[in-house]
Amino acid sequence: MPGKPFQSKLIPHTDFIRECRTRGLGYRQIAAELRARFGLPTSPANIFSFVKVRARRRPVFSLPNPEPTASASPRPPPASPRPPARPNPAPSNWLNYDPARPLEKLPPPPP
Amino acid sequence: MNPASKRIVFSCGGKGGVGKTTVASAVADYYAARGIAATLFDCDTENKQRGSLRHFFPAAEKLDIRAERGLDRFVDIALAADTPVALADLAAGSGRDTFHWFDTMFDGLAAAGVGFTAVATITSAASSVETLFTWANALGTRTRYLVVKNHLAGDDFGYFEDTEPGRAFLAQAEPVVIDLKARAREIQTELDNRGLTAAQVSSADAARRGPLLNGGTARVRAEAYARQIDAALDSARPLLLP
Repeated sequence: MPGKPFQSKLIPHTDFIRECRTRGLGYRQIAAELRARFGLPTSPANIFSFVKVRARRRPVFSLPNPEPTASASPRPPPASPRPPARPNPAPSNWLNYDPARPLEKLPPPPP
Repeated sequence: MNPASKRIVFSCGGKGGVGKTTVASAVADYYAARGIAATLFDCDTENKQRGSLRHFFPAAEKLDIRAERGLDRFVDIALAADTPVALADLAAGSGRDTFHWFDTMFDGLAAAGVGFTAVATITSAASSVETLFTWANALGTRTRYLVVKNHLAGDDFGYFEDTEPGRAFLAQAEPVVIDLKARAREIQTELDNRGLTAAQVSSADAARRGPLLNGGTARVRAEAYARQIDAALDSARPLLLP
């Protein structure tokens, strides 16, 4: 009988990860999103394990089948039940902002 | 009211003490002064009664967006209300809940014609600017941005204007940037204590104003503060209306 799942730091982001999977994002992309949006460093393999364990234990999560490897190469996203197009999506880390690093002031731009 | 004529204005809830509620209150005053009906939400459930948006505007609805479906409830009320705008003062540290909700709900609301304006209040402190960048990184250009430079701690906003993320934000998000001039601390704290915004001072009765704000100089200053922020907000009018 399986025991209590490992208390992953990803647990607070379960809904976010599910949403990403539904939208067809790969684990590498989800890892990048988690880092950019929440400052959460994690690996694609970690997310893969997180999804895999919960998909087995709780089908209600309805997570898509995980990719065979964590280092999956780019591939076309699977068909999504949601409208795939977002009129104005948030680009990934479009400000190139890393909350783990202090803000560095730049020299003034040339006149 | 047709949702197509709605705008949801919300504060970027991040670092506390930068003047989020002061600015949200000024926006509420802006609407009131022009007869623009607005639905007000005080989502800062961790804040004490004194100093929260409802302290200044008792009609504001207290709402915990961190509760289950709290953000859904917020939008349901905002859309059902017969007002063209909804103004929400979010609590410090409400980013994660909002980001995920925004990702889930944005498409549908945008399709219905609902527009969003994020109001970010920053000071010269890097931490306040980091809040803005965190929110902007998550929300992208799906919302318009009104950045309020609160001069309470100085006039150097280099962490906003002269950093790589700041320059990228200014170039790509095209925010409207306005100033909240420094206010005398004793006057601002007394306004907060008595649940008065600067704009409400002139119409409040003497008992509510209390000794300090009944004084001529303090009263004149408060009225000047009200005029200053009102004029600044008026320069951002398109971001405050549907």
